[in-house]
Amino acid sequence: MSVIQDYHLMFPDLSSSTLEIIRHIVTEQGLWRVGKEEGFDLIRDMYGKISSVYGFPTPSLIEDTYEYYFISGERIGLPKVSLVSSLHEYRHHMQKHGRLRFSDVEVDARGWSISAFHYALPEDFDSSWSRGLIWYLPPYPGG
Amino acid sequence: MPRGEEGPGWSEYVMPALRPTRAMAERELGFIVERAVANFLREHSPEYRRKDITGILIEEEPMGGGFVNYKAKVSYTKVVEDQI
Repeated sequence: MSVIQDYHLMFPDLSSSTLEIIRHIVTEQGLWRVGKEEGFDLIRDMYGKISSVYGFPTPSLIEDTYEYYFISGERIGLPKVSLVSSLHEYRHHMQKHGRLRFSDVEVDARGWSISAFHYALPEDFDSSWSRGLIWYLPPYPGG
Repeated sequence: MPRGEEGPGWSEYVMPALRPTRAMAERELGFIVERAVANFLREHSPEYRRKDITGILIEEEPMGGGFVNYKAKVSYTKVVEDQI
């Protein structure tokens, strides 16, 4: 069972500071152009900055086989550099610290991460959606 | 491994006390993840495969006496391309 919906519209009120941090890591720091090691360092830096916005401790990030968030250890694992996946796992960290809008934590994390990408970088979002590079979204309109 | 709940694009599994303390469990996190993946594949293969797992959320459930169980929520969808 896999439910698709308009996750990109679920958080229209996302913090402008968070959106700016996301824009910065992509357009100025070149997240999608750098190597894996540097990409992981950029995501760690992004986690630190977003955590400052919300007043949360910064989760640790390691390279691992699967994407995961280990709640008690506040540890995120990612197999590769991915903006949306890194934001998705970070949203689970936010949930631990009391941020939850939708009762299903996975729906909430998909909504927050995909909305963040959409509102921070609308053109990149549109292009990625049309190429099927964002999980759980419905088919691209007209595509 | 007892079956937990089912939601939109995820399945939950409860894994009885793997390690007596969280510190030990953290060292064995990979083992916890692999047990969750194995359970998922046992239930959803061949329709869904290892590559279709999009994320795993792992939480502790204190059982008393310093022991903990683990709940793993395994998310999945048909993955064609890597996510950006």
